[in-house]
Amino acid sequence: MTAFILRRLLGTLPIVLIVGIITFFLVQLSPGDPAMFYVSADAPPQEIERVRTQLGLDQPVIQRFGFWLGEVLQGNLGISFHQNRPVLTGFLDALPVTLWLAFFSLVIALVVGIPVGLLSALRPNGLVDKFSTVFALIGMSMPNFWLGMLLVLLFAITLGVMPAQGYDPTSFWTGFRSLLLPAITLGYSQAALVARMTRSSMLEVMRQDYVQTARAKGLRTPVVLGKHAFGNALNPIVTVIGLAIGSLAAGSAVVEVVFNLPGIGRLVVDSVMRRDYPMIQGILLLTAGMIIVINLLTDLLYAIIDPRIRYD
Amino acid sequence: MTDSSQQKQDQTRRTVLAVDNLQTRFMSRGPALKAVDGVSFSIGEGETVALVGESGCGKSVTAQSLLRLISPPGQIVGGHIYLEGDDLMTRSQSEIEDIRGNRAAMIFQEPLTALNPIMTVEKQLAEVLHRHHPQRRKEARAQVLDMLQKVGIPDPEGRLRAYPHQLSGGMRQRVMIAMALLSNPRLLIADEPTTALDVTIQAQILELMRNLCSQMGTALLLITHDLGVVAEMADRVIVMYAGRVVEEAPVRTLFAQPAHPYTRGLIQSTPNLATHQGQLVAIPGLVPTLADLGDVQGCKFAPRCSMATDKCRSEDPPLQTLGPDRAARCWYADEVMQTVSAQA
Repeated sequence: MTAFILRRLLGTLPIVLIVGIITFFLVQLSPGDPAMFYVSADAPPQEIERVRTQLGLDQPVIQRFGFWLGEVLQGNLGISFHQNRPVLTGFLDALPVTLWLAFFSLVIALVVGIPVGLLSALRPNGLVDKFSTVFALIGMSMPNFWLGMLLVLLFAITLGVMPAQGYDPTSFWTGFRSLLLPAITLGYSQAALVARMTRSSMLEVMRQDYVQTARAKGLRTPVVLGKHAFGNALNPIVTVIGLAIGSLAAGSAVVEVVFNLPGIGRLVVDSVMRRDYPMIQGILLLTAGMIIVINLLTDLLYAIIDPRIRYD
Repeated sequence: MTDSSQQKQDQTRRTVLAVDNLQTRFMSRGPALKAVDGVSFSIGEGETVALVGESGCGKSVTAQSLLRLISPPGQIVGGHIYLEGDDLMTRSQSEIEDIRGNRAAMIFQEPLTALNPIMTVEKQLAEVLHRHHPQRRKEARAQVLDMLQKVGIPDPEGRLRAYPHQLSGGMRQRVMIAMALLSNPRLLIADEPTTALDVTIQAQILELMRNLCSQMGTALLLITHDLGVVAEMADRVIVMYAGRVVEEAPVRTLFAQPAHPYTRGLIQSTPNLATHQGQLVAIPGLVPTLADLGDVQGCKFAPRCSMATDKCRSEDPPLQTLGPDRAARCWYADEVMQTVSAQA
């Protein structure tokens, strides 16, 4: 097991490197001169040139890449153009908001998705199942930002019971209140996905012989379904959850902008707007690393759930 | 044992299971499909009854119906199932669950898939005891070990923590048997218990089941399509065709003198070295699908029967009693018996 984890972690290095290379050159390809963002509109050419030199943009791209890579390998992600402080510091400042948001969304996805999926698997094509199909269809079709705006319109503007935007970190409760609507926005589509996967996985497992065996032992229905069927249905559900965490990272960019939350998603969008090259590259690299680690954890979880899966 | 002494013993046996006119249907868009169509039989204490027939004749559905394990779109629509006199059809779901795995247990065909892959052997076995005998929780492990020993599992203590995939097919079926017998059931239903196993293992498993059932006085309903297994194991045989009983007889009588052309066909299509006389005889045609059955007028076997007459094709024969413990569903049962005797 330990050997497997080490091997996988080593294997992530080339992936992170490739992500780094791609993001570096993609960012460079984007139009616009970063220096223009950091001088006044009517600045003379010498002034622009001076800022470019200061930001290191006067060097050839390949040279800059080599320099950046060398620094990254030493654990230095560079200095943000805009914030004028280390990229890592800016990233870590924004991280808690996004982590809380991801956490609450995931809780919503699981607390809603799994029971809905279970109930619809119990009576396929029954009333609950039909209702949940519609619920899931809407969840997967509706764009995040649209749902976000609808929620703001209803709860913040019409009813006035929730904050429309912003993040209030004074206490856990105020933070929770600021994150509730964004978390619903993000979690809904994930809940839909989890519900569908739970349903199909349960239907598959409930046909298996060992479920019949469990019933033939005289076990009560909740035990048969909860212990024997659901336990075996978990692996595909875990896969979906692992993927969901990945798409939460992407979704948070949209949702944090809609709700004006100072998280990683907002930070990356702002950095793109301001052509803050080091910040964009740093965030993408760190996010990629986090997702790789989550995938690894998902794979390890498979082995815990199902004793037939062994990585040695 | 001769037939007459067998019969005497049967009369003194207490009846464990009595099935009366059981009807199980599968609801479909068209007419309901009659998977089990008025099946009646009984099994006495310590007796082994084989339920025989081709795939799709309704024997497995019958077995599942006995513990009311049929789930929609299947449904038991009529009949009675008496377990030691209790009519299971009048019991609530919860009472049925108290009986399953306790007074009546079941073993399935595929030991590879019938055990839960993510639970250890010990957990799956102990679960039965926890469920039905919660007061004996402390002794559960000892009882599980004892039972594993009885079913001939080497190093039972080491196997407690094993997962099903770490055991061979034969071992898994032994575990299934141990699980079924833990609560000392009065009735054991074994649905093709050896079909998925190697021939050498088959014999061991059958031997084991026979020994344990006779020790514990458990009535055994053995469902199989293998007449070799029937000859080896059964006291009495029930032959099913198209959801109905077509013949019932003590095992020796059945092999010596079948009274239904279908039974005769089954026996003739089984290889037998001792009486081998040239080619095996196949029964022409296929078991009609449930959906086609509604169209068959008269005897359901007539389309495949070499002896069928116009009467067979227009009038459905009843199950006629031919003697003590003997019955057949054929207009010409007497003639069938005679032709077989003549051939022999």
